[in-house]
Amino acid sequence: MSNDNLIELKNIRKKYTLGKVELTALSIDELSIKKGEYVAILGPSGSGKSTLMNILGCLSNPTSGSYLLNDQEVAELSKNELATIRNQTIGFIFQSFNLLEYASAAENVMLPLVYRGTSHSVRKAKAENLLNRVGLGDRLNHKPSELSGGQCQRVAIARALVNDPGVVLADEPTGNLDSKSGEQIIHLFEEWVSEGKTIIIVTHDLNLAKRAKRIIRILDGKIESDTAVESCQEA
Amino acid sequence: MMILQQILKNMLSNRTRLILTILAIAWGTFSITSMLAVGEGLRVTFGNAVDQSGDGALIVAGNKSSRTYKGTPSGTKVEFRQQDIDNLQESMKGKATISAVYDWNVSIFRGAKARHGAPVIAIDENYAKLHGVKVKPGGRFINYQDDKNHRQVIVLGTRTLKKLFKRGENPIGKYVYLGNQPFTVIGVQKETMQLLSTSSSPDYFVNWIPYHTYQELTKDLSYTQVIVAPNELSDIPIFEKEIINNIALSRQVDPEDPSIFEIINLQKEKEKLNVFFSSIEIVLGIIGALTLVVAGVGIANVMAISVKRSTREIGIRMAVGAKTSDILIYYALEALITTAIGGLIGIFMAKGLVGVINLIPINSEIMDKIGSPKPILSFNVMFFVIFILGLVGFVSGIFPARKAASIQPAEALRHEQ
Repeated sequence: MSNDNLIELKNIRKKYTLGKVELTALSIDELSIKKGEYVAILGPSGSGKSTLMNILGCLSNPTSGSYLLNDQEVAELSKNELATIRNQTIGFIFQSFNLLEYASAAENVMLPLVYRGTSHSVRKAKAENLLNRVGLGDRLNHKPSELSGGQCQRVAIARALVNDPGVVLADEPTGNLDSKSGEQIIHLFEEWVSEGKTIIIVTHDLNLAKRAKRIIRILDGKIESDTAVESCQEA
Repeated sequence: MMILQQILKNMLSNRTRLILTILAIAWGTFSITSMLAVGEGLRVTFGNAVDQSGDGALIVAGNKSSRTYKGTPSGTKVEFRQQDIDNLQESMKGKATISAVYDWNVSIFRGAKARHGAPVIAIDENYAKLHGVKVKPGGRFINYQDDKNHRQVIVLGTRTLKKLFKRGENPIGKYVYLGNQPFTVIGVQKETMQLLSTSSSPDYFVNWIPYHTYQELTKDLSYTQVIVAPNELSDIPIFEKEIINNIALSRQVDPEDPSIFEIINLQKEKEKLNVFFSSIEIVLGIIGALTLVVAGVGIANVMAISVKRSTREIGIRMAVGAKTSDILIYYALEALITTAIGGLIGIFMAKGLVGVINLIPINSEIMDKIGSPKPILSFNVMFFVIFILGLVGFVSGIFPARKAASIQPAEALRHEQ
C-alpha cells in the first residue's frame, strides 16, 4: 500500500447490541481513499453508510479493526487528539446542518476557530471571507432561524472549511434542500475538489453520487462495489 | 470572551429554561434565607433575654430546718437579721454586691377592688443594681431617697395593675392600700420576657416598696432573701458555703441540712437556658439544612435536565473540535452564572420580606413580652446559602455535561432536543 493514502481502513467492524441481539452495522475489510479524491458513499438508508462516515470522521469508534488517518492509527489517539483532528483535519457537513440556533452565521463559522484558539480578529476575517465565498456575505449576523435551508447548509459548509481541513465529510448534504440549493452546494464541492481538497459525500441519491469521481456502494454494512464514475455510467 | 458571550446568548435564547432555573434557585435561596433569618431573630432575642437577666448571682432565701440539731427543733424558721446582712456586707466588701429583701405577703386594696396575697417585695438600695426592673414610660422605679425617707410609694407589677385599675386608666400618682396604709403608685413594671429572676415569682406578678418603709410599718427587722452578685463568678460556690455556715452557726441549725435555705444559682440556671437555646438553634439548623437539601435537589434537577437537553449541542461542539475540558468549562460557567443570578434574586426577595415584616407595626402585648423578635438577615447565613446552592448548581451542571462529553460525538448528535 502506498503512503499517499489519506484514509486506510482494514477489517473495520462496528457492532451494536440491541437487548441480547448483537448487530453488525458495518463490516469493511479494506478501503482506502487518497488525498484529493472526490468520493461518494452510496447506499440506501440503514445500509451503514452513516456509521461509516461517523467512523471516518472520528465521531465514533469502530468496535474493531484498524483505521489509519494520515498514517496515524486512530484507535491509539487520546480524546484530546481526536478533538484536534475533528477541529483541524476533518470538516463536517450534516444533513440537518447542526448549527447553533442562538448564534449568528458568522459565530457558527467561527466556532471551530474558537476551539483552535485563533484570535478574534482572525476568526472574524476568516468567517467573513468564507461566508462571502458561499454567497452569504450579506447574512453574517443572521441566525439559522432567519436563513433558508440552503443558506444554513452553506453556513455549515463555511464552518466545515474554516480550519482548512484535509478532508470534508458530507452526510446527505443536499438531503434537506430543494434542487436549486442542492446544485449550489454541489458546485461548491466541485470548486474545492479542483483546489485539491478531499471530499467524501455520503448519500442515497444516485444522481448526487454520480457527480463524484468514485462511487463506493454500501449494502448491509458491506462494500458492494467500488467504481470510478465513468465505468458506473457505462453500466 | 467569546465563551462568555456565547453562554449569555445561549442562556437568553432559551428563556423558558433560564427563567425556570433561576426561579428554582431564587426560591430555594429565598425560603432558606428567610427561614434562617427567623431563626437568627429568635436566637438574638432570646439571647438578649438571657443576657438581661443579669450576670451570675446567688439567691439565698431563708426556709425551715428539717432536722433537730444541737437542741434546735426541726421546723425552726430561718430568716436573715440585720446583723447577718451587715456581716455579709463586711466580709464580702469589694468582692460582691449584696441586696437583702423581704418578701411580704399582703393584700393590696383600691376601693372595692383587691388583690390578695400579692407578693410585695420590700427592697433595699442595692436591689435595682442587681435586678433591673423596666418601668413603663411616665413612671419610675424606687430610688435611694424613697428608702431613706421611708416614703410610702409602690411600683406595681402588671398583674396587680390589671386587678386594681381599669384598662387605660393612668395609675401614676393614685393611691393603693397595703392593709390600711396608703401607698402612692410611682411606676408600673413594663412586661418583658423574663427567663430568669432573682425573686421566686416573675416580675409581672410582684410589687415593690422601699425596705425601710416596710420596716417602719411592721417593725419587722428580718429579711427573707439575700441576693449576692459577686465580681468574680468563680467566687459563687465560696460565698454559698460562707452564707450557709455563718447563718447555720448563729442559728444553731445543721449546715448540712438542705432545707434551711432555698438557693438559686443564677449562673447555673443561665447555663441550663443556654443549653436549651443551643438545642433550639440546633433544631433550626437541622431544619435549615433539610431545606437546603430540598432546594439543592430542585436546583440539581433543573440543572441536570437543562444540560441533558443540551446533549445535541455538546455533540455539535465536539464535532467541530471542542475538547472535554472546553465543554466542562462552558457548562460550569453557565451553571455558576445561573446560580449566581438566582441566588441574588432570592436574597433580595428575602431582604424584601424581612424589610416588610419589620415595617409591620405589631402592637401586641405578647410580642412585647417576648421582646418582639424580628427576622434578621445574617451575612454569614446568606454567604453560606449561596455557597452551598452555587456548589450544588455547579456540580449538578458539570456532571451531566461530563457525561454528555464522554459519549461519542456521533451519539450526542443523534440526541433529540
